[in-house]
Amino acid sequence: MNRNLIKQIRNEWRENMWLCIELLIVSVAVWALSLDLFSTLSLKFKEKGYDITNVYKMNLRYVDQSSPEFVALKNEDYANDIRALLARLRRSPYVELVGLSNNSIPYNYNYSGTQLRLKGFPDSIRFQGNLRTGSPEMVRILRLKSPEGYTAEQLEKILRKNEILISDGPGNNISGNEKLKITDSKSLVGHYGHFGYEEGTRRIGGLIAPMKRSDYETPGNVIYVPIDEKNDDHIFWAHEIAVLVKPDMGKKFEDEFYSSPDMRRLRNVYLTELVDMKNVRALCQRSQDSEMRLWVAGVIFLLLIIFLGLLGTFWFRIRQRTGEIALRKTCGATSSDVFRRIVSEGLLLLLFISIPALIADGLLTHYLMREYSLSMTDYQFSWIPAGIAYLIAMALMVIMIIIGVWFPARQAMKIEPAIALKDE
Amino acid sequence: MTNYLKQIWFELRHQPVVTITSVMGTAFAIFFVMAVYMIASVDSVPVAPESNRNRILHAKYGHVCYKEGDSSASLSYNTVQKIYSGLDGIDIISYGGDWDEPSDVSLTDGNCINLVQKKVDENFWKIFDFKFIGGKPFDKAAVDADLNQVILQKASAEKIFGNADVVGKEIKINHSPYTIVGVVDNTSPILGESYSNMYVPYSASKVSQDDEQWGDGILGQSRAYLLMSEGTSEEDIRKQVKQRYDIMNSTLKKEGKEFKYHLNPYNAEMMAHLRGSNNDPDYEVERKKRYAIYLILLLLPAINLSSMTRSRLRQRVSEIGVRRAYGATKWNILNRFLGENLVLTLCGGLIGLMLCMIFIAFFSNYVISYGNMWSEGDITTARPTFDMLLNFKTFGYAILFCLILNLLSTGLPAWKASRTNPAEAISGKND
Repeated sequence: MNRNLIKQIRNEWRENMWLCIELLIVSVAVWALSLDLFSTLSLKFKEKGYDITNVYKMNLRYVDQSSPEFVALKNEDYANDIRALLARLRRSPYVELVGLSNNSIPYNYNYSGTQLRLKGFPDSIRFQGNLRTGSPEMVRILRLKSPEGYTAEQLEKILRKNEILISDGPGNNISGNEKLKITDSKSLVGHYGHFGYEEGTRRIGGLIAPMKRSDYETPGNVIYVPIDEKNDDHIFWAHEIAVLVKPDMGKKFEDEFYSSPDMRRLRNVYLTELVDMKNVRALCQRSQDSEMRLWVAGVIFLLLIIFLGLLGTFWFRIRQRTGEIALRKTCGATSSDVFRRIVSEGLLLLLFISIPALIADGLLTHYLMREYSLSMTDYQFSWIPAGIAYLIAMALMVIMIIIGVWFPARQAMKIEPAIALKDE
Repeated sequence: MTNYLKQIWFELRHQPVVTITSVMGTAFAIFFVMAVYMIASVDSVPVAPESNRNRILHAKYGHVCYKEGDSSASLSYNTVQKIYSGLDGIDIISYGGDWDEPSDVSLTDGNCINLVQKKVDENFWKIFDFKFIGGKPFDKAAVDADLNQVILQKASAEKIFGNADVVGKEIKINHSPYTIVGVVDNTSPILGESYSNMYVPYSASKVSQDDEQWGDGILGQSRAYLLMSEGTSEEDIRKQVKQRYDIMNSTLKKEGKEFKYHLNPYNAEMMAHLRGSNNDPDYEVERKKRYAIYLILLLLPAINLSSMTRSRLRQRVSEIGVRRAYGATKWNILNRFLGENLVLTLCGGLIGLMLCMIFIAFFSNYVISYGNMWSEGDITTARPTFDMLLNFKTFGYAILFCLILNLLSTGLPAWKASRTNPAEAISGKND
């Protein structure tokens, strides 16, 4: 049967060639889109290093000197007013935790790349990471992860001792020294480090997991430095506040915040732009999120093209082959045999192009994808996703071919030999 | 002509499945290709309050390079003035703040809401054609004196007061009192260069003193909108701007610095494709990508439609033979089939275009992020309005795409059909 089928396909080579070209183009395009989708989605769902559920963010601002409401104050008054506002937030029945932050809240695309040098070691030994500064509570608010299995409370305790946390990230962020046994983040714990921007040293108290700046980026190394709320100098580092609300209390907290002037302002200090971190994330990633949906729409478009192409071509084919199908039935072929034969014809065409498609995909992977990522994300080249995308593309094509050929094949099954052959 | 249409109608009815498949295939192709075109056109379509969009240029960012490292941000007021004031071919220049600042607005009941404010000068209202439903723009005196005046968008006025009849009333923005001097009609957040919840004066006298924050005073928090005279080309302006960059750089070079030009100033399309403040806009790459997408979106359906047309014409071989025997030329046959198919293509194209407009106007924000990614507020839910989509250019492109699709899908089969030998066709040999 297969030999006959191949002969029949060869006899209609012109039409089949166009169909094959179409299948080939579509399969390569579906593969490219699937590869981008697969790579981006696998990156998106990779561990972020934090959790923003029930977390709100607001900004800390000061009344402009030109305002009639401006009050002349000393620096310590400003610091006390910030502390008083934090205390008011903490008294809310809907709030679990409140923390000050300077770039420690994710989804803000801030790098603040900083180098940490080790005290007592050559200057060449450095740890490079993004500086994240915040109250010790921020560890619990964002539920930062510990690679050593510490709880958030234990990590918070380290920060309360004014020690810093560094991430246990990819080794290339450490300029280490084998002889001195400084090779990875773990080997830095317990040592003292210093930054270029402040005097004195800080003890590296422990490790946290690397953090993503957004879902579509690879996790990066961070250096987490605590803000001591009691310290007047530290408190002015902060320009934003993170609030962890109790489960399902977000809306109530928002209402309370906007209807309580006392909670929002104390003399020259005021809190503004309260926003659920879910919304911050949506705004920050809307371009990549939309792109993902656009790629899905692209795949659907391409598959529908296949569907229409096969439907149209096979519809004509069945009409032209009415006599042949009737003859087959007369010779003992069942309706299912006829159906299977037509579906097989479609799948066989896909089989013909599967090897050229594999070669085309491979060449594209080798020469193009390696150099230029299709997406805006931190896509890392690898053959494995390319292979998986090929399988996904082929599976989708098989489904579409079966659906596309289904309707004409059902028509073929209904052919009555006596009627079809009455003129013969 | 009547016969022509009758025959087409007969053909359509005779083969309903193929007709539906062909029309759907065409509609589908035009839907997608027009969606790509319309989404791209939203970046540059002239529509109120940016009716002058084709003549507006934007000066927003600067990039300073040092021996070690570089710095890029918005421009300082002095730099904007130095580079962009007094250019030949510019009718109006308007200075403004570089970013739209989310601000607290106190409500009468003690509550507050957060609205975005844009800082603009008196010329902003001459470049952009906002519809004032109350009051009027700030004048030069108010801007120079840095008066606390505000112009609200209608929706903002309704949020604060419950109605838009609010001119003369006072509101507190970031705990400072402001007088409402005007209310403008709502505009689309997609027009991000002009859109804001409220507008406050941008006073040069105030900003010039402290707006030299980075890049040795070159960078700051200012920008300019330029309205070109009728007939002036963007290139004329860029040539002059480049010269001013060169003059600045001749001094900076001695200090080991360079103020990068990056093709400034930008039109609407370039603004939509900026890659940060330290790169040239990549709108040409975007255009090339779009042309490639047009090609794929037309070529694939054309292959499908072509195979259907070929099959359809195969059934009409004897008719072609008779026509040829009665004197029809090859050109007549080719024309006839191209024309017949064009009717089908236009029907499908019309359906595709209508569906596309509905999709773009109501659902497209799920797959496209309009505006630029740094925009705040309402932009996340913004979609193009029908006045951005309904224009002659859109219809022109739809017809052009239909013609291309028709030529691609019918050209080859019709050409082959026109070469049919009449004797063989009638005898049934040419099957």
